[in-house]
Amino acid sequence: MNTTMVVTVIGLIVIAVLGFLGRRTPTNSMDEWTVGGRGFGAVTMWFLQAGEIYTTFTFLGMAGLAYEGGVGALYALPYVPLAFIGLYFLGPIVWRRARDRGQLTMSDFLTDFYNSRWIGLVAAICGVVFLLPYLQLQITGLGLAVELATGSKSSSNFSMVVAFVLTVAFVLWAGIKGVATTSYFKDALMLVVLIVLVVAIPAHFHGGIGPTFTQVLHQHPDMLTVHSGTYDRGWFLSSMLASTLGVLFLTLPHTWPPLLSAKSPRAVRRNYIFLPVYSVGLVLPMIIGFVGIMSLKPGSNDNAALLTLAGQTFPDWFVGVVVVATAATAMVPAAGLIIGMASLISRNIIPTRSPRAQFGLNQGAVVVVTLLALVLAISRPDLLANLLLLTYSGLDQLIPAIGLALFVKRFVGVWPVLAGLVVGEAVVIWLTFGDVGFIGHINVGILALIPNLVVVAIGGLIERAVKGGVVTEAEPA
Amino acid sequence: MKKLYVGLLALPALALCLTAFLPFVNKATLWLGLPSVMTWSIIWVVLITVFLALLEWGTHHPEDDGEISA
Repeated sequence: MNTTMVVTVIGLIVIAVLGFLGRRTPTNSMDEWTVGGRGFGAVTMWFLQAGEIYTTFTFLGMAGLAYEGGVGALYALPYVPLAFIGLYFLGPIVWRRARDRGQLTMSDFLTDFYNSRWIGLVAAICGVVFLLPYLQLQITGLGLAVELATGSKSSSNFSMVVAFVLTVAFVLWAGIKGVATTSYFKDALMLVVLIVLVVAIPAHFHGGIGPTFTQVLHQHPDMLTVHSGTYDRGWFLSSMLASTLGVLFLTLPHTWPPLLSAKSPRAVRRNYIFLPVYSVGLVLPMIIGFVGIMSLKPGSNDNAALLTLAGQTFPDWFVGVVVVATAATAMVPAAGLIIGMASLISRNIIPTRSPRAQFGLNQGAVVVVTLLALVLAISRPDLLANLLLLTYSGLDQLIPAIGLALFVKRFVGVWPVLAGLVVGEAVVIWLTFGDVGFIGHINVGILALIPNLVVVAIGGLIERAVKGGVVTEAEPA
Repeated sequence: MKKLYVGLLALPALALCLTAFLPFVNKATLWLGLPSVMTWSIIWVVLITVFLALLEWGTHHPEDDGEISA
């Protein structure tokens, strides 16, 4: 076991210990496990929600996207802050209703508003199915980091297994409180590592950030503009909008527990104020990607850009620290994903007879989803790659259902909303896997929303005509 | 005052959505040593925090009355 691997394993254990420290005694309460008893202040909520901004996609993917597409990568900087503008107003509404009605998940919210278990069930299934490849992505990102740093596939598999066994363990023990304590460490380490990388790597290769971009300007000026090609303006804007809308309408199920864990609307609002400026840190790995444009061989693995450059700049022990930071950006968001998925399964997919049975099912679901994602990550890493293409576009089709549920009155019933969702998902699958050329590089999720919304609107009009124009107050399920 | 602060929030939303379409932004040039697209995006994202802070601390929030403080 080389130095890098030793540092990595120690780091994984430290992350897990912090996760266990999230709770002193175990709980069997879904409320405590999923949303921490709705008692988190603004600071803790900050780290929970910031954790959603910085994942392995940030660490490896942002550098790779900048290496591949230049400033096209910057579509990823504004979409979360833009969504937070809207969530500043909508977040407290969702929080209050969830608290008053005892809701813990996105599906609880929909089931309650539409007074229909069907919408909750379908939304939960969509949530679990589309999040599974996203969970697998965190696992493979960690494995890739270890493999690149150590040159060993077996070390990669070993670290994936160790990391995710530890993650399952602290998630079972501490739930969202474990995610909170690991988030403090993860964000601190990640920021320190990124700052060191962004200072040292450009200096090592080109004399600094300014000289790096000056060289890019002279040798690859096209990388400094959003231009025609794969990452054209249509792609840039539609990707930004699709992601903004997805975050704004809370279509990602694992973003609900952090929101619902707040102890007041003020805590909710204050997070949304400061998280945008925290998002600016996303440019740090992008800058490293630009160094890669000048310093890596053309056609290199884009996801390997950051780690390859780090390996050429730093001693083995610091490369191990970079791997630990990458692992943290995998394990902590993965823990949040696992909580989101398990709670959907136990509360909204498989019925249970008692709170105790529900909690037991929940804990079983934690193990099953993680095991499934881990096995597929090791044995069939490409199997879920196609499904990942559907993750954001597929979840965006929940926007009409959730958006309409934010009102006090129910303007459209459950069946038009369900019909729109089914049509939207069908269009997403067709546009993603069919040989459809006319859409160019426009985001599939945005395009599929159009027929989705049309079906909802037509269905709503038919419903009014049949029921005589009734708009009802939402009744508890 | 609240309407003014809420209206201000439309500015960064518009500016960021138009990033790739503004010829003076989407060009091969450096602002403060960084690509103009990057500098433009950073400035407007930071302004989102500024404008939300103005809204938070510059106006009253009735929903906080009676709730537990953060």
